[in-house]
Amino acid sequence: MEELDPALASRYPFTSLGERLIESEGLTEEDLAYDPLLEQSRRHARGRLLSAVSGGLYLDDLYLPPLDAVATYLIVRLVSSWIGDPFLNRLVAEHESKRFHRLARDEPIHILAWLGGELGAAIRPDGERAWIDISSYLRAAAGLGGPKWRLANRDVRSGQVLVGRRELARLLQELLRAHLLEPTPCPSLSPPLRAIGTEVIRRLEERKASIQSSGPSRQTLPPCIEKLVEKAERGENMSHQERFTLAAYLLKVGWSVDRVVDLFRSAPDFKERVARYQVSHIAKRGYNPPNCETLRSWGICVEDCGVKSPLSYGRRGRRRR
Amino acid sequence: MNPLRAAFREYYALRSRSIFVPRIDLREIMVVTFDGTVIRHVSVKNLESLRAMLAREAPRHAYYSVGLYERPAAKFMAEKGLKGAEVLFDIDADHLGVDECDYGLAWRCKSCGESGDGVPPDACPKCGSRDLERLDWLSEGCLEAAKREAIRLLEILESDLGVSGDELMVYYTGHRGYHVRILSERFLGLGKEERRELASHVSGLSFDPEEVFYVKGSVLTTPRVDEGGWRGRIAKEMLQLLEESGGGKTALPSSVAKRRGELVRALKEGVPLINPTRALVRDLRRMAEEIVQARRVRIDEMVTPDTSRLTRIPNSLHGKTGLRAMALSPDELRDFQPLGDAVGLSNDQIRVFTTAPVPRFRVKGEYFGPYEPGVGVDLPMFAAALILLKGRGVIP
Ligand code: SF4
Ligand SMILES: [Zn+2]
Repeated sequence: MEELDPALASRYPFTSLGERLIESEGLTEEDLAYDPLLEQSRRHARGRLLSAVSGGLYLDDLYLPPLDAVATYLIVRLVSSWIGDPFLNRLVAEHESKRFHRLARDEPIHILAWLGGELGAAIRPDGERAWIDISSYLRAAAGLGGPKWRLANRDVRSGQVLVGRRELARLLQELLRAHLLEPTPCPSLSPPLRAIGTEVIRRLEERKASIQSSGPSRQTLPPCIEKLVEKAERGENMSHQERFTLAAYLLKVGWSVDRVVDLFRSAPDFKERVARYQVSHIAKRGYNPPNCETLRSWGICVEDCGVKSPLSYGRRGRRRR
Repeated sequence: MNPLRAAFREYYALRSRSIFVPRIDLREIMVVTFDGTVIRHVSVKNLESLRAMLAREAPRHAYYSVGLYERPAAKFMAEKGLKGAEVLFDIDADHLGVDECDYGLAWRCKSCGESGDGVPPDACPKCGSRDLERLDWLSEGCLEAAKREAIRLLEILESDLGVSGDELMVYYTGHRGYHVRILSERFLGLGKEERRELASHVSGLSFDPEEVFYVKGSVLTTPRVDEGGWRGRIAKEMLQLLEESGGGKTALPSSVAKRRGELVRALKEGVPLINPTRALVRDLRRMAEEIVQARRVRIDEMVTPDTSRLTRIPNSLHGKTGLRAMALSPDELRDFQPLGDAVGLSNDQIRVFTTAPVPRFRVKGEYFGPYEPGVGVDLPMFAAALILLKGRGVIP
């Protein structure tokens, strides 16, 4: 393999190039927290985390020198592991992988092949396209919506799938997202980094509160839906029926697709694309949540509140008041 | 002891060497005893213990997990510590819509014991009870249909996924179907969505003709014969149709026939077609759909994504037939005859008293039946077991 430009660590700090740099520089948590030369890394890491929480895309630090870029990335990861909130982890993974895609989509095929290898995929360039091993393809594409990603519509031979250059960059984005979602141990942080963390937590709570206040207030939720909301917030495993019921109900009472997707974000098997696809599908079709009888048979009903559908629960409540 | 259970025990004692489970220390084992007790979350250290357990318990059914667990004996899935799971495909003749699978269908009234041939009526003609049992049977034609699906599945797994030989485990379930497991390391870590994707690939469910005959502006791109997957299968079959139609053997839609030469080049070399008519695009997509329909593998889609499944322990006995859930190599599968090769019980004679009609059937090359309900017959154990386990007879 040809020599890699060490400057690539600046764009792709999660790779072995980044790791080697950390090692050779002997970078420690203390350096990240206190080294005055890394002040801009701390500033950018803060920006990236806050962008993640607000759903933006932070690109101010695209051309940092390799060491600063690696330090920024490390701080982002350390702080989010320290906070240890599954909802935040999804937001950070979403943000970091989107940012990655911005850079990767213009890379030549051999750089993408190298990046794929760094993310655990076996990639063999073939002209302007590349073959990716089927397990990695599935890991990446299972979360992507649309018929073009379905294996049945692709050139797949002996456990390898042929993809275009742009497609490969998109798949790598998904692999990076999965990599970022792997559980990490909770580190202890020095005060300057903890300060960043505290600020992120505050913004995160604000976002969570806005998700909740945007819907009907807790009092008007029927007990079955309230229970499902709690389950979703706690990131518990939910059955297909439970998710459908919750999404259909919330959309009917005026939640936006974004907010419903946000609610599901803590789920252990959350996939942005799949969730968004499913929720907008329910919204587009205008499905009603199942009636109480069905919910009873699914074991979702928690008490007999004397209505036929969870949708009439709120209405009755309003009329009475 | 119930003579049937004794026969199972004899099998497990004599044939214990044929029982095996790869990586057994990581599996959850489950057995169902002859009195109907379900014993779950069993963990077994090695093959010797498993063989000893089967010979001792002589269970009616014995299963092992597709999952590999750190703690297979833990009661709850979340505590088992899933390390990975083999990818499972389930082919069940009941889902194939083959007429032969209704061969020997009968019913029996649970209240008064009346029985008859064919589909159960709404109510028992004798006592009026609605509690009727549907009794199915095994037929060679039905099992053959399931086998054909299994063979097609293996072909797709090899050509598309690159898994073959040692990386696969194929087995007859001992009843009306086949199971295929992918053992290879690189698939063990796949999640639910990924498994669902594999299932809808082999079953052709996620196939979309608009992607494969893709139109952008005035350009139509077709699949090519050198491609893999459904694209390649479609291209090859279409090319063959186009070439045969040259001799006038096959009738092509006129939209397709008109541009036959260009289409041949497109399928062979990938030269796109310019300005296709709407009829052409429609007809090509319809043809592709038909090819997929004819070649898709009809698996049970719900099974593959589920990593908590269990399937029968290879070469254990199926409690609805007494036949062996036989592990097969892909080559053995081709010539495999369930009603001969999978017989595991002895030919000791036993007297059976029929309680429902028994159709004519053949096991190990020997014909038996048909028998009326209410008669006593002396049969070898392997044939008697079928009647007993299918609920059509008792030991007097
Ligand atoms: S009665 Fe209806 S609204 Fe009330 S908890 Fe049950 S399902 Fe929900
Ligand atoms: Zn009756």
